[in-house]
Amino acid sequence: MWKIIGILQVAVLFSVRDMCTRKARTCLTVLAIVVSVSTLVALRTVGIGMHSEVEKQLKGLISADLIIVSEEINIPESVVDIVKQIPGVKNAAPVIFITGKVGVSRCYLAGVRREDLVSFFNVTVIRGRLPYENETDFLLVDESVFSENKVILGKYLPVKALYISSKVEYLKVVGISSSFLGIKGASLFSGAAMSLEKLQDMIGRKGYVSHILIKINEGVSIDFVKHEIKKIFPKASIVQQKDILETIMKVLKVIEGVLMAITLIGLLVAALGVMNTMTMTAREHVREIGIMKAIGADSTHILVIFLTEAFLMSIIGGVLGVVVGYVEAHFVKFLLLKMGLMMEIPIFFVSEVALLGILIAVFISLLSAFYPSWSAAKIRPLEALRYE
Amino acid sequence: MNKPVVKLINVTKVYDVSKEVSVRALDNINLEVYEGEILCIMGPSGSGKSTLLNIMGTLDRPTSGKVIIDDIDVTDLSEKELTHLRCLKLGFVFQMYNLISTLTALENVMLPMFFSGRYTLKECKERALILLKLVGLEKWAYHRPSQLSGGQQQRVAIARALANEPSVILMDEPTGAVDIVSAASILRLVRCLNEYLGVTFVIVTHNPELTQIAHRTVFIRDGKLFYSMEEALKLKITAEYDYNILLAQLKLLELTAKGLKRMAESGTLSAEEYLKAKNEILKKLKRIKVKLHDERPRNRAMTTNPNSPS
Repeated sequence: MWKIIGILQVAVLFSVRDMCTRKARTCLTVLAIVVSVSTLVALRTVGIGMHSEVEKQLKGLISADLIIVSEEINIPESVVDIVKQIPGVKNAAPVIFITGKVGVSRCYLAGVRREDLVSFFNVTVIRGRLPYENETDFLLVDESVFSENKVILGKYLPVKALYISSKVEYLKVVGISSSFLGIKGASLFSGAAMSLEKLQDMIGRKGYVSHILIKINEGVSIDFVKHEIKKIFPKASIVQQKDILETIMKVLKVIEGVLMAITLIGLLVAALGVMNTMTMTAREHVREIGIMKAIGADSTHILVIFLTEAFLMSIIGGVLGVVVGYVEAHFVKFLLLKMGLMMEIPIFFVSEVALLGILIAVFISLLSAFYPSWSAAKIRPLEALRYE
Repeated sequence: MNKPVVKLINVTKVYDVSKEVSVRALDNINLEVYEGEILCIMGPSGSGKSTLLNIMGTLDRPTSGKVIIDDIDVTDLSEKELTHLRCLKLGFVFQMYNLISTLTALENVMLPMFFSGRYTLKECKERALILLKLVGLEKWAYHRPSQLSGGQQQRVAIARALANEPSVILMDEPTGAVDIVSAASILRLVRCLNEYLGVTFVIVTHNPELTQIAHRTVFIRDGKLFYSMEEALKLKITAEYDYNILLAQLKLLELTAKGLKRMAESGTLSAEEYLKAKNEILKKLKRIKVKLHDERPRNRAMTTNPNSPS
């Protein structure tokens, strides 16, 4: 036991001395590890934060269990009444979703019946009010549309449906909703809601909608209702809220995957850096390896000494990398905000990510240090002693 | 006559320079190094003396012939076994000191003890300090090699070679890179270690001055051992050394015994090996006690530094 401790003591002593003697080289290697680990930690942390935030906000998205979807605005509004008759269906709402232009903002434009605003869209008015009954020229906007247009409540904004009709309607901004038609503040999902009737008028599709949102009674199987709808409308394309969430999550996964790929390149660079350093270290120490072998060090001793040096550098680099990574995560968040992402990504310390960062640092360092160390350990003492 | 520590039997070493040309560095060498002697191997450059030393030190293998160290035939041992053997039975002193530059003098001396796996960190340090005191460098223990003179570095190297109480210390031009005064002091140290601690030395050199301290000198030329002469000690040690050196040796042996005992208890050392090592230590102890008895009355008044030039 003390034999192993003895070897480790020599290894640590030798490594620490060597690292202190060759400060510049040590610093650069540690830096390479820090950069890659911090990139990993930062991207991973932002990714996790984004994931959790998106998940949280998606839960507050349209609270429909099933949605009948059409690519075009060709579902007759009367379908709603038929759907409502299906056992298990609690409520159904006809909606039109199109891309539109509200003032200067390009955004989602939803045509909604007044009574469906709260029950299906989770509209929470933070300023202004909900539309009155029989009010048809109302416009509810979210915060980003509101701030982009710099309007005040009660003023009229020009609204246009893109790609479908060139008709422009002036609608009265009655309220601002915090969570509305999607994710809070994310400009990608920013939008506005107007009267369904008015929108149908505007695009000339009276009596037709693009989506029907369906809520079902608690305890009723979603698949059962879906099946029932299919019986009546065999061609209808029906999606579940779960599917949409899954799709969005899949997209997020892809983004995270891309981030990981970038990280991997960083790790590869760090690995090459460590390999380079260890090869240089081994070469610089050939003579000393010879001396040590002559006075009784075997290959294991030499291997342990060099791996210890790599290990120490990777631990220092790993820990520093985690710390720097969190700072970087805040920077990435700041950068994303600057670039227009209105989402408040929470940055929190995830111990798994920290551990992963350090472990990866140790792993790649040991892996890349192994070959140079091994070949150093294999040198015959006499050759090493003759080495100048 | 003492028993031979190193025995070379018909050792030949041929280097193949190319397919057609080969150099016969050593040609059928037969040589024995006896316990407690200083053997000097003299020869001009390229005569094969370094090759001979490397083969004795198991750093190189002979093309044919046998090398026996402490009754162990090392000719066919594996690299790992050779390393272990070098660690415990052989000490090396090189012309260019070959200390590890990043480690202090103390740590350099501790290194072979670390590798032996016999001692704890504390014991290594304790022994290393005794050894440094023995070579007169206790004040320099915490200095790096670069802060020491050539002579001092060589003495650290000698202390390092002594670390595991080897059967023989092999020196390759030990005074080749130091000034005359330091060289003289190193020679005196070698002589003193031999006289008082019974350390066996093999010194390879082309400097005839070194033969002054040798019991025996062999000459080598073109890979052949062609002349050998018994030599009376020419260099008289005028300054007698105080018996502190023997007390230091006592302390070292005590620590060795402790390490060996621990190894035997943990099973790293077989009972047989332990017994053999123990007998060895007892033998050394006995000799030291005799010496202590002899030296004590004479040296009571004198406390001369063993390394100061006389």
